[in-house]
Amino acid sequence: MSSVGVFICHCGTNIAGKVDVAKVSDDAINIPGVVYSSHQKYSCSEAGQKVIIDAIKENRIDKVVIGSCSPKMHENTFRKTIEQAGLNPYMLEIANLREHVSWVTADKDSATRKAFDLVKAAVGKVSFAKPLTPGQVTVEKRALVIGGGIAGIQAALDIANMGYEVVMVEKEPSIGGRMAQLDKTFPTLDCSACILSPRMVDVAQHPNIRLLTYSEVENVNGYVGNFNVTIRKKAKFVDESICTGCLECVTKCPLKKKIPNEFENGKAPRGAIYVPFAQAVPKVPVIDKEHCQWLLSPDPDTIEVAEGEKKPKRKCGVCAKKCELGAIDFDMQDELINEKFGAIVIATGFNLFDHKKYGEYGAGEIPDVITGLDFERMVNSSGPTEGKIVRPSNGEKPKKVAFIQCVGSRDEAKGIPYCSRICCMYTAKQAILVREKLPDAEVYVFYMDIRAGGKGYEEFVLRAQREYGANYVRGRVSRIYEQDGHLVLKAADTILGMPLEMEADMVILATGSIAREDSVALANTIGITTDAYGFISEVHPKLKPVEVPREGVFACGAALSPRDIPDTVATAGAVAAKVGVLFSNDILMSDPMVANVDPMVCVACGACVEVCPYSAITMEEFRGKKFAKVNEAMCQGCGTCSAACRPGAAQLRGQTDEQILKSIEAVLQW
Amino acid sequence: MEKLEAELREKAKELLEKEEVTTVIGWGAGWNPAKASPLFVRDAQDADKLVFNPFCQNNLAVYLPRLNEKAAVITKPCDAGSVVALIAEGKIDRENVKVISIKCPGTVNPAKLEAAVGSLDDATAAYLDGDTIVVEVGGKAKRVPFAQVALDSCYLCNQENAFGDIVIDEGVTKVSGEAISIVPEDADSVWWRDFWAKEFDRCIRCYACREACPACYCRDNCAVQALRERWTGAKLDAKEALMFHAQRAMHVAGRCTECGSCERACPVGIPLGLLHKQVGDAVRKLFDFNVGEKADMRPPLETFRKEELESGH
Repeated sequence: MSSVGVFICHCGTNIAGKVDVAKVSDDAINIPGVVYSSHQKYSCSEAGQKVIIDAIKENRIDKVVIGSCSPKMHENTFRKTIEQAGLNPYMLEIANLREHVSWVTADKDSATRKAFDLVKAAVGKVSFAKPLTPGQVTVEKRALVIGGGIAGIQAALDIANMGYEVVMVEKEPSIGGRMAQLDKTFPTLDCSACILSPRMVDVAQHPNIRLLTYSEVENVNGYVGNFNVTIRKKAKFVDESICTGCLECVTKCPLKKKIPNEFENGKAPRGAIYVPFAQAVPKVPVIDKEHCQWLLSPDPDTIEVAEGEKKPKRKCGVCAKKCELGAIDFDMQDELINEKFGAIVIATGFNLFDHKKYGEYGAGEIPDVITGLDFERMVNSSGPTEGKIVRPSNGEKPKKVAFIQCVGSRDEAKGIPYCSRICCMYTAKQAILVREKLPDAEVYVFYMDIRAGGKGYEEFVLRAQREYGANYVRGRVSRIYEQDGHLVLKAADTILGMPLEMEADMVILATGSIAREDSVALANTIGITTDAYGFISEVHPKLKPVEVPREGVFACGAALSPRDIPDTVATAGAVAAKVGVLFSNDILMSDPMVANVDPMVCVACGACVEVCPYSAITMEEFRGKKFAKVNEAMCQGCGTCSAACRPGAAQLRGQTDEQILKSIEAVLQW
Repeated sequence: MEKLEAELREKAKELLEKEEVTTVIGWGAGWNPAKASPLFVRDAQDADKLVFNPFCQNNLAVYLPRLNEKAAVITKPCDAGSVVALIAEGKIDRENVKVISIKCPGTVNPAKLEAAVGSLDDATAAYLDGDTIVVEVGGKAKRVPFAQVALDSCYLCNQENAFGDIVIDEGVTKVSGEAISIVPEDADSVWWRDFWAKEFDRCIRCYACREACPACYCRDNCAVQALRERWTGAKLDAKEALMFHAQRAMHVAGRCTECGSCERACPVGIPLGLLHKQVGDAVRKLFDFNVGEKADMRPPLETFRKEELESGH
């Protein structure tokens, strides 16, 4: 029989205001197994903890129940407390009398009754608690950074500069991400490429960073300090070790004007062999197998022809002929790379809302209605129009430009109720750029509110308005249509309280930022979660903003939620610091509250192996008897195996069937 | 029927002589002519002891998970699914098992037969004669149409899809008839509650249903008789019995082929097949999964698939 000590916390008036703590404490002494019971103002305070330690020693308590706030809050605190008193830290059970009782119960009597029930259940459960000791795992001090935008670049450089090896995986042929597509950055109007490209080069040249472009993460196994990751290196059909980046092949590709270039948001063409942009890192072209004529034409070896007839040849192959170094290799295959990492950084960035959903703005069918990103490319000197602001419909300079904010943000009807945070600022920037390049053009900005929280942001918007004369109109545009070679905007000016109709030559939609289309799939691969919009979920928005629920995995930048470059860089630095903290350990303690399988009870049905979301269970054999075995370092303690196990061989330590039954029994009987 | 039995013995002899297997699991004569018992033949000479007739009830797949040798098992079409399901669960090694599949004429339901001809205890002979079951008691032959006394599942049996390494097909005609359901069309939860309360009141917790079930291979480790704290009590009452049967039904959900072994094994005649059919219907509806169809697919209730996560199942 165990000797249980019960300590009820007032939590000031948080608990004591609704629960008769003295009564709960007095009644608790009558629960079988309880040898001591008391109540105190703040158990978590130093004085409160001392009371617990002294009581444990004086009353020979070997198991402890604390009725307090959520175990999420102070379970660790109290584990340390009872450890100081000489007990195993896992001989503790928390009855959550705050979140589960006082905060959610109106009536004092029923609150007190429920509090007592929870204390009974906790006593029942703790009486079957067994001492647990954490395991130890080594740390592989290498980091995987997924995504080569500014977030990934910053995180990779910071981690690499701490002296740790980094592998960066980028899906596209070049790193650079969204920031590489931008022309200028707010609020300083720095040239985006000028501040980004040196960092891109740093990544390529850093002795601690290995760059895998045109690659994707396919599978993640393992646990903190020891992840096994499979990376698919897609065939580039160009040998990186030979190619010098002369781009002779790119200029000779017969399709070079035929395929929309993703980097230019589809507004300029590329070939089947291409580098996405001039400053690409690495400057090695790739062949797009969806379009390349050689790769699409059938292999002559597989074609059977009648005797005497000539076999048809492969089409094209111009790039291979032009490459003097012989770097083109049409036989190249995708390569699967398996690597071990101690930490994983998700820096996969964001997408922009597709304005096809806005039928009222032409659903993408009106050529002179473009998006902010289209404008970034247009105004960039290496973009499709070489930096000239022109109407896509006729190539003329627009005389009147209208910006519409909140397209695909703060619009519940379109499924995006959140604010994208960047659009107010980039619209102000683009308004300035229009006025700078076309001083004669009029600029109108339709906005809902201006959200300019950030260093120098409000001033920047005021500059756009006062210095550059952008006209800000508060109101939403309800419709855009073409008429006599112009665009007509129907809107309401909500300050004047009047409907408004305006002609414009060009409309730029400030499309909001959304999660990448593959973010949920990536989250599933890694075994983490996303929010309702597909953004990666953090553990705690305030206190653990870059940690995700799988230990050893971190996320930064716009993969977490919409954010601008300064915030992205800041979170990337934060992630690097967290990885540094992790890598400062040679050995990690693993949580002992994980599953284990009793080999004597196991019937080797394999259900647990199948259901384990962390691939932590394997089938072993000893002297002809098969049984399941849990890798305790990989186990996250989710308990799925325990639920699937028919004979009850798989049990979660600290949450065993015995403990749960005992706590149910305690509530019903005592 | 005789030809079928002769061919069966021949095949068994051959397998044992060529040492392809060390045992052949089939049926032998029972303690009474209207019964057949499971028979393990380990010697080619004993192959002639194998019988096959409409009284061969047992689903012999039940022995496979605990066997540690190369074995051949004789299966009726209704049992073959159990073998497939056990392969799918990794409980039997495909290489160690040879399945001898028999096209059978149908199996007698002893309860129906006893109802038709009286006690079978003193029967001196029992056999299938054309489409009639003949039982001889005290020198007198009692005849009853097979269609009247076959297992309900035989009427629904589709022999075409039987799985087997060796198929013995001697052109038997399958019994046909109509199953009579004891469940009213408008049975609701109240009806079912009362029905099972009444049925399980008879349960003596002998666990014969479990022992006869090929999916219940936990044997001595079964959760209902574990020595530690457990979810079911051992008390003899309808509530505890319901808990036991409900737990068993959940444990075999998505794994049960509805072979009917449990119901046939029950000494007090609880219609367990109804319980497993209900669970089976739910599994088919939810997961579009037929137990015993594919040997490379784990049971749906013990798989964790990312697609399910995405589709919100």
